[in-house]
Amino acid sequence: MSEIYGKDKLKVQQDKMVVIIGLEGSANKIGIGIIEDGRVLANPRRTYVTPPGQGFIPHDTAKHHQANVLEVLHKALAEADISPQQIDAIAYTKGPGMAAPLISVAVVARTIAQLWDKPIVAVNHCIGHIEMGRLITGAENPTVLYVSGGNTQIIAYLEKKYRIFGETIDIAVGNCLDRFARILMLSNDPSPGYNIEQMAKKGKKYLSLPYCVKGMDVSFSGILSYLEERADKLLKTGQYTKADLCFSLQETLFAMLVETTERAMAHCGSQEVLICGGVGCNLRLQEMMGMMCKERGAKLYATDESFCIDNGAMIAQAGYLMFKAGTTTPFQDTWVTQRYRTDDVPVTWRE
Amino acid sequence: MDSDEENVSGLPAAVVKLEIPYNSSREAEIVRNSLQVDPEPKRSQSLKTFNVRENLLCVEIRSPDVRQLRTAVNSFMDLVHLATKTVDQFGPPVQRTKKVCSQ
Repeated sequence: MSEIYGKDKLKVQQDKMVVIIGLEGSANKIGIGIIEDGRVLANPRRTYVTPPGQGFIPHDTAKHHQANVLEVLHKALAEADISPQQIDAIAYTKGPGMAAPLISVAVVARTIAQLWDKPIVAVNHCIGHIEMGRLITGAENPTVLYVSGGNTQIIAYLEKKYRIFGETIDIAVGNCLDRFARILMLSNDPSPGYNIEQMAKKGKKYLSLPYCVKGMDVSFSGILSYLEERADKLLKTGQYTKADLCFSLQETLFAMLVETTERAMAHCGSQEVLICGGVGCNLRLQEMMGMMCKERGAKLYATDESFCIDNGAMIAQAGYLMFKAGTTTPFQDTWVTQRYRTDDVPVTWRE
Repeated sequence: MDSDEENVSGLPAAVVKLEIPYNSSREAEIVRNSLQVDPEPKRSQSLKTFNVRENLLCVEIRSPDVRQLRTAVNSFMDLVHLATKTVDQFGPPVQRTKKVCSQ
């Protein structure tokens, strides 16, 4: 799947500054970032926000990306103050994600790669999150909690692979939060998770919810069903407020994540935790993880919403590392895939 | 569009032929290359054939029935439009350099 450049070419690449542009559009965000040797030159992003009570469906999301991607591309180039000639390679998200949005962005990546005569680097979205987190926080070899609307994984690096130590066996934690926000008809602007987080701050009364840790894995769909069945009644009878339910849900979900992350750390003997993915910018999750880390004498690394939430720079950064290690993707292999596991990618850029 | 041909399943095939003009044959090739990479969706029974004739991109889409053809043409047109806009806004293509051969 990947071709390795001859040694001479690789040497040239290592001597000069490398500029990579990254295109991301696997979910409801379309983002394009430009990175020059670890420096983010530009990272504009547009989010497809649906009305309260509604999720984003693939076809409409693809339409949103198609309508916005070129404007975001112009913006990225202008902000970075870079001409296409200065770019060394085009990185794009190969997967995992929704097919129609992925294809829309990949078509643009392939077209500019041909117009500008640049190589393409196909990037795994999850690897993008991990590498961006490492770049921004400086974490060297962390146990990674990757939590978003589509993924929930506990990851650690071992022998040339990012290995998945635990993951969700059904829906992602962000999906659970998003869908609960729909039950409460909370706004999706800027994101349902953000609005749950704000509401939860006012919550006082804890509703005991199912706690679903199975070994190293977690399960969220049962918790969601439990609330779906009861939320209406609990609110109508005045037993609990919306804020109470948001608070109870967050406390339960995050406790499960902290527990499994701690177990992975103990197993690996790790003293660092990195939280990435869209749910990772939730401050209550960071606070709970911070308490666990403090007790273990470990360090917590997290980033804010500009890099936690899907963005183009993270794809550029993973693409940068792959490109420097001599990996590019032949044109005919630049297709996309809805399923693409984190541990499918050989990590050629780490010792 | 014609539907008098028979396909494998014995049903009349629905076919649409598109010709899209570009500024140069290179631009037509670029759009073809960008759109050719993705395999047909798993459950789709439609088939696409691409050809570049001078500055024309010629595409033939063939489906078992009109309903499926409509779906295939719809999503294909969206992507042709996107690739064409990209060429218009970020082209024209640069002169290609000779690739360094790997040993």
